[in-house]
Amino acid sequence: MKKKLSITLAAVLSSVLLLSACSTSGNTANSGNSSAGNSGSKEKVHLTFSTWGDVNSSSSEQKLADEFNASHPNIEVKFEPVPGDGYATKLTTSLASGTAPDVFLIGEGDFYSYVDKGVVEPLDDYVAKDTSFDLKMYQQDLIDMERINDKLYYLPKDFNPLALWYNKRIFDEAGIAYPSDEWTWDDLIATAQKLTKQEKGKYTQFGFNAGTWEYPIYTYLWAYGTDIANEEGTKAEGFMNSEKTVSAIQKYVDLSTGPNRVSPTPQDTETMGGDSSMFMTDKLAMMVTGRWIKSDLDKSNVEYGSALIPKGPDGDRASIIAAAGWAMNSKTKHKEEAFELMKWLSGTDAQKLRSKDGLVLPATTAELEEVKATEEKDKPVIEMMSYARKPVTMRSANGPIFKDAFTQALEKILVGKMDVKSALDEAAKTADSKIK
Amino acid sequence: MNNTKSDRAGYLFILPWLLGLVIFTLGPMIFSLILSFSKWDVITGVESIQYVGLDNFKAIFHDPLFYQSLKVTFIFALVSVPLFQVASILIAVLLNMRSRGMKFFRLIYFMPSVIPAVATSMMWVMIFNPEYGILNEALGWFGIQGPAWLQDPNYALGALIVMGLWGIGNTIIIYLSGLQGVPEDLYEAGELDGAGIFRRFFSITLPMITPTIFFNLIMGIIGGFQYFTQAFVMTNGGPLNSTLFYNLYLYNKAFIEFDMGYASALSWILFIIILLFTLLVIRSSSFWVYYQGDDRD
Repeated sequence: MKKKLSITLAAVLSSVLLLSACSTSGNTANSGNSSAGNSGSKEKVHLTFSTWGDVNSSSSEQKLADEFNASHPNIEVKFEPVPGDGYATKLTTSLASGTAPDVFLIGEGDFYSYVDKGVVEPLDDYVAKDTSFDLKMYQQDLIDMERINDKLYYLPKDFNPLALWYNKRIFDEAGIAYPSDEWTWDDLIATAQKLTKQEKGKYTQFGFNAGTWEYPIYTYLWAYGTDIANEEGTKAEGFMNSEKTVSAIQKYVDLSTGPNRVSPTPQDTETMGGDSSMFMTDKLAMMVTGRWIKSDLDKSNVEYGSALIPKGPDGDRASIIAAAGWAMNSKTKHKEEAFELMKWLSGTDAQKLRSKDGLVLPATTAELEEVKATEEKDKPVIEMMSYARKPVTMRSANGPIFKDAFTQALEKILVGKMDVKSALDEAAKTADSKIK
Repeated sequence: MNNTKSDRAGYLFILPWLLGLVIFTLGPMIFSLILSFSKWDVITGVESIQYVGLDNFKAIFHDPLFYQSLKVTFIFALVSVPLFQVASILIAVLLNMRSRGMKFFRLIYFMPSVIPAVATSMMWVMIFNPEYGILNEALGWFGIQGPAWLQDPNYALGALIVMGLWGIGNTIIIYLSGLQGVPEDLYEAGELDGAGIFRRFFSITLPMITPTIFFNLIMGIIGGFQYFTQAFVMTNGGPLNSTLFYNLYLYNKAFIEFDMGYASALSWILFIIILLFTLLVIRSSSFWVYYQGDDRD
């Protein structure tokens, strides 16, 4: 009797476990059936799309999804944002398991690598077929970025050019004129020196943030007529360690090292809670960063302005456009419908909706002209667009090799383990040896 | 008849566990073993797995970062395992004394083990902060200019080892229970024979808790080689790879670079290393572990 009971108990226990393990797949099958039944005779196509970022700022995407569903009775689209910084991992694993969204967002730094892996569908055929859709409505720069090896892979969501941002209160207090369009990097450094303050041997205010983030460094190197790789992204020797790069990096590193520095060291930045919060609490006068910073700045009571990134000694000026683009999963079963969704998500209405709250700049020319006419603070930021260049990560699949070698060299220089010349020589050698 | 029936019941009872083992442990292990001889970038799906023979292992043995991560992990294990064991035993002996409020102290020493590692790591980042952290503040009272603990490649690994002491609560608890299993009459006999406090510790306590030391040593070695969370949160391998622990390097290869074959090969090398060290300890145990009621010696 007892034994019988135990057998039944064990059987029940394990079946409960099995059932609970299966329940997820069971549920989706059910829900799929029922919604198909609701829509009547015609089979409804189900699509999902995904973005990173916190759910709040993406709520306009949810709105767009709702409107899309209302105007496309044969398609049911679901928006699945990934909060926090697990987006790349989630996307990659879901691509591997075949459960990835039909449409997903990719940042410009990864444009090349996702295409290289063959997981993004080329869009040229769809664009050519669709007579109602014209790429000319977008900024040419953005479309150029989204074209890789002469094929279009992405449609623009939004973009953020890098610009120089300055804290007006610090400038006013010191009685110094705001950064002008005529500034060279030497002017910036001279001003940064005046705006750096020490009290009792401790820094209380820094003039400029010469950090380790590579984008601002690229714009600086371009202004000095050099780069960490050749244009094709196949060679580091003679670029990463050229005379121009070495002297420019020496100058850059000097800004954040030693007793007379004008920029926080990485430790200072950490101590003071990060560069943007230093800027917001009037401890940092200038920084080069993307326009996304605005949403944080507007929440604080900092008085800020934007300006053009300074010129180099020969008058060269450069910026980078950070952009996000919609990509189509090359394995999606419903390519026509997915393209329909992409058009919607990067279309005029979507651009208008997102730029209405001022958080992002519209990717379409007509809407950008409108913003240009009314916006004061953003004028230099928009102007920076025409100076935009592609960093090595957007020119070649080898990009990450150059980037990693360069950041490692910079780290070695900053902790004082190597001098600039030998660190960059070593980095050039490492990068070139890794390129196939 | 009856026997087979009860056998069946037994198997049914362990079925949930057995399924868990096969699906979540054994399955992935076999998969990773296959992957270690393959090239796979995850993103393009299982159909793109490519057999490459010993290529991954060959590449690993020419990889300077592999040696760097081994070095970091070995230094950490070599210093922290003995240090943590000695510290745990000493604290456990203190906590085993009969005195008022001892429960309170036991609670205090165990508490850090209950807090998630990520939370304590964030706290230690603040403690180690070169300018405003309380550690350098305290050193300043004695006129010592503390270093930039986590930002200086010469100190970062040491800082993590020191921080590890904060999390030895679990080990202490196990030693404490081991200490409480030492028969009181042995101490009484020792005392009658005129053994002092140190003599009693080295001749009675220590031999009697060798089985506990044995257990904690093995767990400590495994834990030391698998160290990950704190380095991931606090230094992410930096500065200059001075805290690039083996598991952190493995993680980077697998989930940052998506080189799953290489990462699987790395994990199997780690498995073999841990296995060797564990076997070494088990083999040596007959020389130094004493089991009561065991008349082998």
